Amino acid sequence: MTAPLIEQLVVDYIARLERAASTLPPGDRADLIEEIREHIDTAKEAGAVSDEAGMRTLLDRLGEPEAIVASARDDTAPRPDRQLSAFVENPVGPASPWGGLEIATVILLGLGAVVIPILGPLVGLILLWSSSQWTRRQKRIGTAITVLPTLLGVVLSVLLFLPT
Amino acid sequence: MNMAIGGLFILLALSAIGPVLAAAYLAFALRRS
Repeated sequence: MTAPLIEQLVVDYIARLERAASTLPPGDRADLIEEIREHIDTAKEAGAVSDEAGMRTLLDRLGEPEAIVASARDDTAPRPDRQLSAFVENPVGPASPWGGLEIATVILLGLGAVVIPILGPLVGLILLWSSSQWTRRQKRIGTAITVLPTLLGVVLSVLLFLPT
Repeated sequence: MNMAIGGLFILLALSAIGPVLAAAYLAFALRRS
């Protein structure tokens, strides 16, 4: 009976966090929620939360979701590069996740690979990791999809065509 | 000589496919967010 109750506390807490974080950029929002989830999971796996009271204590220690979001916003707001890129991307306010940085990333990766081999995708990857619109997981997957076929090409070329 | 050109061709083709797929994936991911 306790386990579903503990789970319900987590679900309610994450739902409040998602609501409070709706004003953050999608990438920052997903990262923040993922981080809090991991924190709760780690505490559960370590046996630190065995009953409802333990979970309530853990959530109290984490703080109010609104306070966590406010703190995350304070962490991101003063960074001048973020402010500048947010202004360049969306001078009239937040709406579409597509800013100049994101468009340049997709063009450099997509067309850059054909027009400017190696250098185009390389700059594309740098822009990808500078953007706050993609989550860290999406950035890792994007980088892997970019790099792995190239590595495969190097291995195949060496194995099949290097004179022995 | 032909072997070297074949190797270079595979290398170029595979190194172009990855970034194109990555661009498609990232565009799709951003559209869904």
